[in-house]
Amino acid sequence: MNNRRTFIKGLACTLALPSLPSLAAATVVSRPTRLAFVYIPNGVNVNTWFPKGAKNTSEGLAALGGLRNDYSVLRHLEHDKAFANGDGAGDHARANATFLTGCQARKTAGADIHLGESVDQIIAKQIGHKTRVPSLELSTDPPRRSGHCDSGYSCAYQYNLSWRSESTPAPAERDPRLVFEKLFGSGNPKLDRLRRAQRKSVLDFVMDDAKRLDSRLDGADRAKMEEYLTAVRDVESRIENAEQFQIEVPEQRRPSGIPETYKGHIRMMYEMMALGFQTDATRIATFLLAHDGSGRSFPEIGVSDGHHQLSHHRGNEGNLEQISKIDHFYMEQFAWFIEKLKNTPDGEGNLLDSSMIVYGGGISDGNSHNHRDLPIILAGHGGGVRQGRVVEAKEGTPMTNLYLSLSERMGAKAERIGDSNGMFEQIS
Amino acid sequence: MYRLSSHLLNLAGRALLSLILGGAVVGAKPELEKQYKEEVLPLLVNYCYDCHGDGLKEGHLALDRYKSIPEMISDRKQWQKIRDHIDFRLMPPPDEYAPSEMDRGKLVKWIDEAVFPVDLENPDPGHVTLKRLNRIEYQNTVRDLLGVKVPVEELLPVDDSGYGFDHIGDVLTLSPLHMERYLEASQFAIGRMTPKSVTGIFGNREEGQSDQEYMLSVVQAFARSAFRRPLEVGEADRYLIFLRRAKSEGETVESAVLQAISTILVSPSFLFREESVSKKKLGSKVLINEHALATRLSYFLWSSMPDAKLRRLADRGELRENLSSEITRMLASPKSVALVDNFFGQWLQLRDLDSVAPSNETFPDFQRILTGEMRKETEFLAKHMIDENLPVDTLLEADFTFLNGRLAEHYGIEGVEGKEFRKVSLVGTQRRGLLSHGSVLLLTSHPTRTSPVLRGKYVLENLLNTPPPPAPPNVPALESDNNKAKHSTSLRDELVQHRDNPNCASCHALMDPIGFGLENFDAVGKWRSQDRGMPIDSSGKLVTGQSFESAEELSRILIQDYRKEFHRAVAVKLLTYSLGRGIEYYDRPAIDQIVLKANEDEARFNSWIKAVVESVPFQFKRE
Repeated sequence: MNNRRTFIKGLACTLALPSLPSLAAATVVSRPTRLAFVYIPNGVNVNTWFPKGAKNTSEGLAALGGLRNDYSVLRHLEHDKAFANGDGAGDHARANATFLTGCQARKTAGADIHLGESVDQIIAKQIGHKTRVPSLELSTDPPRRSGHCDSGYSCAYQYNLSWRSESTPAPAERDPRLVFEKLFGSGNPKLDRLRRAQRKSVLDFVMDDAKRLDSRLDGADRAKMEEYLTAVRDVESRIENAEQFQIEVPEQRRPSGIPETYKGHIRMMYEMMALGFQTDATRIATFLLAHDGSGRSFPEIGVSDGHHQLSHHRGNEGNLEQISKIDHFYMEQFAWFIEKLKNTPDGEGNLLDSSMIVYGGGISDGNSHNHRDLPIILAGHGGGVRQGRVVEAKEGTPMTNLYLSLSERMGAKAERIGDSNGMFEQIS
Repeated sequence: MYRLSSHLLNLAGRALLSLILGGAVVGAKPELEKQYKEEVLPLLVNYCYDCHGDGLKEGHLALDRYKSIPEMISDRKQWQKIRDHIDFRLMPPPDEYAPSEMDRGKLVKWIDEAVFPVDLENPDPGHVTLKRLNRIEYQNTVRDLLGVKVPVEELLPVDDSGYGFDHIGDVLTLSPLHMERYLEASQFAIGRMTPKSVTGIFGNREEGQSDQEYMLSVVQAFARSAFRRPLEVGEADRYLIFLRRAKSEGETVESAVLQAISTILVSPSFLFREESVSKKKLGSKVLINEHALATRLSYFLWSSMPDAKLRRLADRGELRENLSSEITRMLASPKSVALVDNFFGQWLQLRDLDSVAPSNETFPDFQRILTGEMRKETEFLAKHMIDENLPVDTLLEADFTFLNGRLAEHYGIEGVEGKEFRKVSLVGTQRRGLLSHGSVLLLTSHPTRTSPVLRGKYVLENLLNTPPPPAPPNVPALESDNNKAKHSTSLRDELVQHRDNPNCASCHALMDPIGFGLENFDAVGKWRSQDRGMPIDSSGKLVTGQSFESAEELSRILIQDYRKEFHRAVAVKLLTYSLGRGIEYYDRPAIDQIVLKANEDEARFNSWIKAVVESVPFQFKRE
């Protein structure tokens, strides 16, 4: 018995174990629960960001002022697997990789990438078939150039939040126009129908190609073909979903491309999330504002040094002030999004009533690359979450315990996510 | 369940493999064990055990933990670090007794032979994981097939990278998003074919040819190019299903062909580069066949598919005997600009310039457009080196560069006007080679100030193939310029403080002096003689003992005393790029060979390419 447990434990980062299908009869719920994760890079100014007392307010959270009853600050959640644990430097790559997976990234520049399935994908695999699009993966990170990344880690770790399997990331989209198209189609239903039919026949054909090619391969090469086959099947079922769930297209909100300012870009992506949730085109989304270690500067708010460089503040007041400015900038955009959800009717209430939005990052104080007491906000009232508080977790509580509790509220079951060791039920 | 059991099998397989490998080594090397006891161990005891032995394990390393060579082999990751720390003079730390250069060399040589043994008679070619085309390769290939430029930056997801490049087989994964976008991109391409490419593909229908015969001939030819290999028996026939369907819907044979083409562009045989082998076996490796060779060659030099000439040679089995002239032809083709964009662009990190933004406040006169022009300057130098077949040393020591009016003015070089770039002599200026290019100087600076550390790191990592290990976790970086009160100390003084910390000392002793030598160039690449109101001190001393007073002298030392390291860096980067996989210890003989062969022809650029193409890992696959 014992052996089996350790065995299964060892596999937690290899595969998520779905438990038996729920016996409860599937009932039609008019207001499904939605879930989103928003990632902020490089930690925060912990002095100003975290509330000082029991109230969920602080200088760093000021932008959320009018929404005090709609969110809570979760304290003392941590990502142990983002620490070196013998792997040396590379905290930014690990913070990013671990955030939604709770797994230790295998240190490799490429040969044998290994992480774990991320919480959003675990859930999407179980409930994604109920919507047009199983999940959205979004990013406002600028396009990558050369392949130099953090301390011997492949760039795959540092730039992807969502992972479909232990070795395959789910790349994020940064063009809101394409996100809109993915959710709602081209705007020409007849053309879309034709396209779908055409695509189906192509996929059918290449599926055969892949099987033939697969039979000539071995080892790591077969894994590549397996990836290909999985992708083909997945797109096939997406096409079926698109046919099954017809949605009226909110044509007036179709974006024309990537907005010029960072702020505009972020808001447009939030808008796409809100739109996806509102129309029930999807229920799960992840949003990477910028990859961990991002050196972006913010001339629009008077911050000319790079974010990463500033995050190593060494207690310098000037640097800390600049970090606070960046924290505030990101928080303002987030508040805008939460406000938007709150102003969007959904059933008898509003969209925020049925949403659970996690906002935070994999580093607490950027100066020391700390992965404990992470800056985490949980907003929205979906799943019966109780808001307006500072929730103090027991020290050493894995972030993934929160994910396990959120998964359950989404109607997805996992015995374990990454390094979780229980549920985090203090959120209710 | 399938995944579970295959996972277990995999584990078992690996364990078995390491048993076999370990076993083979134990039997083979008694003299190495002897040498260890008599020569190596005393050195370790003398220079390392004060911190890493006799119960001490600084940095979690106890060298006396390893009782035999097989034990070292079973922990190769650690031993690679040990080896590199000795070789790169990171250990022992600067304030401890250090072995003589000869003893250092002896230690490294022994570790190489004992822990990383290579079979010179039968070198391991390594394994290149089945490679998906990356965005750029996809774009170029579709261009060559259909004459259409697909906007891949918009359409296709970003490629992840590893080992410094974005076309590494292991790292290029394929998600459903990719699949959706490939479907879209293929439709895009079909819809925008030019009349010329349509004629090229559809050809002239022979008289009396049935629809079926016609379609077969078109598909056959197109798929041969797209799949980069001859078709299998019956492979083209499968596409006739589109003809039957078209006919039943009252459509033409042409629409069926288009459907076939759009399907081919999503096929795994198009998106992935399958590499078949020839019948020629040599030890435990097999020669790749000529089609695979043509494909490797063309993606190496052109980032695209083989052209008609390469295909023809491969079909006849004549490519290998014409390799040298083909390489010359390919490098002379305009398509070899792919090497500048993709190889030099990533090796020298030129692509990162797009996201470099000097602070407006600190450098109010700096025009954004200059970053692009600085990139061009370095690209022109690389291109010139390829076109003129110059020695690679040119990169470091060129006494000429390529400028237009704006950039020349920025550098303070007179007599260059207008927008066009042209070759300009640097004689009489303080600038020489790459290290005085605005591109590199900008890339290795923070928005508000220079960073001697980043500059040193850039040189070590990219040009000398001795990447310093990353800073240990939890070490804060230097303060930025925000704290105005601290301006009484120079940047150099701050760094000296940094190096006083023993945790930082050994690496920074390696990096910082190189950066100091470049301090006369500010964070936007301009020459300066003062910083923070104090005169610039650009003197320094390398860990190997050479002192210098200026950037020019530093460059000279690098090219004279570090030529070997620079050449190894060139070989490692080129081989990584040409194969699309990381370089492993078993590639050492190949690297040695490449450096040797290239130097037989004064290290001229073409000779590097030829040496890489002739190398074992490029020509062979594991059996």
